[in-house]
Amino acid sequence: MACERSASERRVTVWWETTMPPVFGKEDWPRSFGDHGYHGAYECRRLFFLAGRDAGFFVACHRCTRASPCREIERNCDRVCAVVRELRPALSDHAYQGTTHRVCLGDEERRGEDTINEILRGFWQAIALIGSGDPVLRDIVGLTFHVSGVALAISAIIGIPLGALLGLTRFVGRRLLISLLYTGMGFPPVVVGLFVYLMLSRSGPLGSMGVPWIPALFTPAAMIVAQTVISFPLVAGFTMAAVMGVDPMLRQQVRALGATPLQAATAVLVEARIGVVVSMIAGFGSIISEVGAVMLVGGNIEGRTRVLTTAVVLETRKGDFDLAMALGIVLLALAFLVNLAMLTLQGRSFDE
Amino acid sequence: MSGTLLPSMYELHGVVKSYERRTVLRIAELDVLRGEVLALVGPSGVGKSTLLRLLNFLEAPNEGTLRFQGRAVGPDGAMPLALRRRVTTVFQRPILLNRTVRTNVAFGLDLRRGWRPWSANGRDDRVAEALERVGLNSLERQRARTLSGGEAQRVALARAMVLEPDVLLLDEPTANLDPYNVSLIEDIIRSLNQEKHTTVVLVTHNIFQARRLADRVGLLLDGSLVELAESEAFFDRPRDERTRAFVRGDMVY
Repeated sequence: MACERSASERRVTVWWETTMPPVFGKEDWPRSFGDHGYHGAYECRRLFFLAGRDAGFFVACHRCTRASPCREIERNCDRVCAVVRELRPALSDHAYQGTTHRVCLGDEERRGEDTINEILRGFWQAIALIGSGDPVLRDIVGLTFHVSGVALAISAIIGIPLGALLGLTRFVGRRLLISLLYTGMGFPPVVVGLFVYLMLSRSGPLGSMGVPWIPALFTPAAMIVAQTVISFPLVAGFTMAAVMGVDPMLRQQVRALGATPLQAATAVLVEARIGVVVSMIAGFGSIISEVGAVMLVGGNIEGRTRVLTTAVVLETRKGDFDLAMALGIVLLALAFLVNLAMLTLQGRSFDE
Repeated sequence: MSGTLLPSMYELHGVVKSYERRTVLRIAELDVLRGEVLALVGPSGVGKSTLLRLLNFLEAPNEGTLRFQGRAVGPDGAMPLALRRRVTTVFQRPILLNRTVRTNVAFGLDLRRGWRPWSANGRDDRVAEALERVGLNSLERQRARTLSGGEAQRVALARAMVLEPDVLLLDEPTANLDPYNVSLIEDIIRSLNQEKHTTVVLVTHNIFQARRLADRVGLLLDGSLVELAESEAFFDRPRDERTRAFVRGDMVY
């Protein structure tokens, strides 16, 4: 749908009434949602929706989401609705949810933007956002680190001893356990999310027990559970590989110097310390960048379970690419810094 | 050391060690005397290293009894840590931790200290003294991975000596080294034995080294002790035909 050169082009996102994204949370929904007769801009927390006169859809304008309702779209409501209606038969409702379209409005001067500008603008906005210490961003980053950090700590507490045990001892069922571990290392996070969801949901086997220390769905604790399940096989697997890479004679030598079995295992772990740090980095990398499980289990509730990755998904689907890019850059930078810090922590060991 | 001074450090009676039904060691009778240097010679793969593992209580014998300063370690019995901590082994290959020389030498002391970091009394002095003995006190802060083969083996020796063990077990400690380092290490072993009266059991397939260092020499073949005699008698008047062949150098190994 290219516009005339003189036309003003707007990008809008279409939400069908029946498929209003639950990701916005209840309080985000237009107040008179479902009132098909009304048309005009609905103000909600982040978006301004335009309800189709009788079409059962809502249109969110991209440029005006934060300042004021998009008067232009409001003014051209019939036109926008016609465009969207025209598109509608091509796709099923569900496929349409959240799709973005360019719509021509009036004959004003064209203010179209190309993707390159979008990326650049996103980049600058990212810098500005980080620099300004935006409280929303701060909350999201804080929660991301809280969830992934605690999950990583639990993974290390379970995974490092498990990896050492598998690498250093021989027992019945060891091979089976290793196979399971390798499977776990490549497990799709979204399947883990589904599994944890079913377990913790109120009708699930764990959720229905009503035990207070079992976390409820859509809480940070549930996200920690899911991320722990994702990352501990990685920590254990890489630790096992690192421990097995240590000279097998070392254990005998250490025992000959008077080590107890626990001291011998510790000495081997310390000798394999680079590999252990790498296992932690791998575990952390897998969960900080993971969307599927936290989305399913956490629900991406603003201010409560919204983390960087789910926020990127949301902002992208809203068409708010600036914010999405800003969040993406923050995510990248933070992951980089954490890995750098971990490597520096065990510092001089890397000089060989 | 122990209260009553028995003349024997170790007494072995009918000791058998096998792995997966293959018997690798069968010692009818062997005494290791307090304060001696005992050399065990023989070709590769006759159970010399297995015997050292038994003497270091790293493994238990399948049959027979192994007495250490009067305390018996039965077949497949529990091996008390206390016994293991009075003995230590230096292996053919110096297996050092990827840390500084000082940390390596202090390692055995730190193991004995356990979780009591405040009882570090004299640790650093003892480490310095042990490094002085092997002539490496200038390398205290160097990383162990950067040492040459001879230096690494001397660090391994210092790491064992610093524990002041009752028995020092040496498993072909100079097999991979140049003549200079061999003579250095032999001097260290000799002085340790003479000054600290440490009992030394030396496994080697170098009969010249055995002759230079040992008070008594034993020949192991196919897991059993063929002959055990005073060094002079062993080399000059061997009783067994096989000893004679080994000493002459007829035995291919």
